[in-house]
Amino acid sequence: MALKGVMRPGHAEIRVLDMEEASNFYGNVLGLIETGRDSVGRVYYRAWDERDHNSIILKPADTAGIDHLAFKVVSPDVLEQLDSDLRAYGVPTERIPEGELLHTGERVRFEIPSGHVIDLYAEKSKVSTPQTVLNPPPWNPETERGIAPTRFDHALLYGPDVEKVQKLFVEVLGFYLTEQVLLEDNQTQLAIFLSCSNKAHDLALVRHEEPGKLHHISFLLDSWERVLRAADLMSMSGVPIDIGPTRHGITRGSTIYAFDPSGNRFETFCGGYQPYPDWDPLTWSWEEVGAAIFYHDRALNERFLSVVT
Amino acid sequence: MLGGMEALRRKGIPVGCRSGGCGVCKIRIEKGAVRRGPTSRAHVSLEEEAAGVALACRCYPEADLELSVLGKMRNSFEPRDSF
Repeated sequence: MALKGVMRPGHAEIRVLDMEEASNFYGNVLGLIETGRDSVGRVYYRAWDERDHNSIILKPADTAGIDHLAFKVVSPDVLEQLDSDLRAYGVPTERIPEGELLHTGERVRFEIPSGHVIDLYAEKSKVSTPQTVLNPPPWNPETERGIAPTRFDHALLYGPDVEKVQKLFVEVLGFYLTEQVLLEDNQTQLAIFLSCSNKAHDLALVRHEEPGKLHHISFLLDSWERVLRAADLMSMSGVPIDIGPTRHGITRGSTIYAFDPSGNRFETFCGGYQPYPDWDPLTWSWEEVGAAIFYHDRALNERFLSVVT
Repeated sequence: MLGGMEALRRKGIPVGCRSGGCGVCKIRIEKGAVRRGPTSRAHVSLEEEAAGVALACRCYPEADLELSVLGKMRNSFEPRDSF
């Protein structure tokens, strides 16, 4: 894949219950860099190694969860093509005008069978950062402030009809399946992991009765040592930890999960493999689902499975 | 309240996000007063709030309390017929 279509998860808009608590957490504890505030009270962030204006947007709301997840596509022409491909496939789309989100171009919005709102866009302003494009340093002071992930990496969503979501993302948007977890019947997919790049996952879904739920948004770190440092900072700051540090069988990532001040789960992780389009999807059977999720405990943590926003 | 229960290593109220978002620690306060923190309206409506329903993680007791537990964990990994 030469990344000719959908490139990557570009941003997530997350609903928060108390903006003061949330912005303190995302800015000072997670260590994202605030890049703007808009007239409806949303706060914008990027990670230290990202050059686009924003990748996480916090929206004041009276419920927690994800407002929408957006993928950046390679060009405005591709955006137009994907919009017409979606409509031809039978998915209604709408346009969100340029500037509705700060520094973000026109978006094509649609709902997927799991009940989540997905946007595609081609343009977002680049900002100047200490990671200069000419003779860049390996890291900079932003790299050391808080947990400081390098980037917003992926999301795991909970909802029904995951096989329909897979079909849509594979047939229309150019994703491919990297891994799956099957239920006891050895056939029904409990979880799917989809890539549009050569990351082990750009989007994951778990089958769930209630539509439109967020399991977690995930941020990339460079090393296992940085995962341990993230865990230290979570404890030092009183952040409610869900589980970790540990390793997933799925994707082989090393990870820790915790909750933001509105109860939205987030992951900070490192590692995993780099699949190419000739990848053979990996399958985890029901008998090994414990090791699939947490490779060392080999047992499922009830809260990890059940708690979503 | 939920943090107090955890610190005492007691059980009874399910523990989820501990931050007012997920709803698994939903309770009804039968007697006594609490101060409340930010709570998702997806889990406690205005009518419920008026009837004493709350999320335990966002309740700070101001008196001795009597409560009943409404919330529960729902495990997605249990196969079901239709979803």
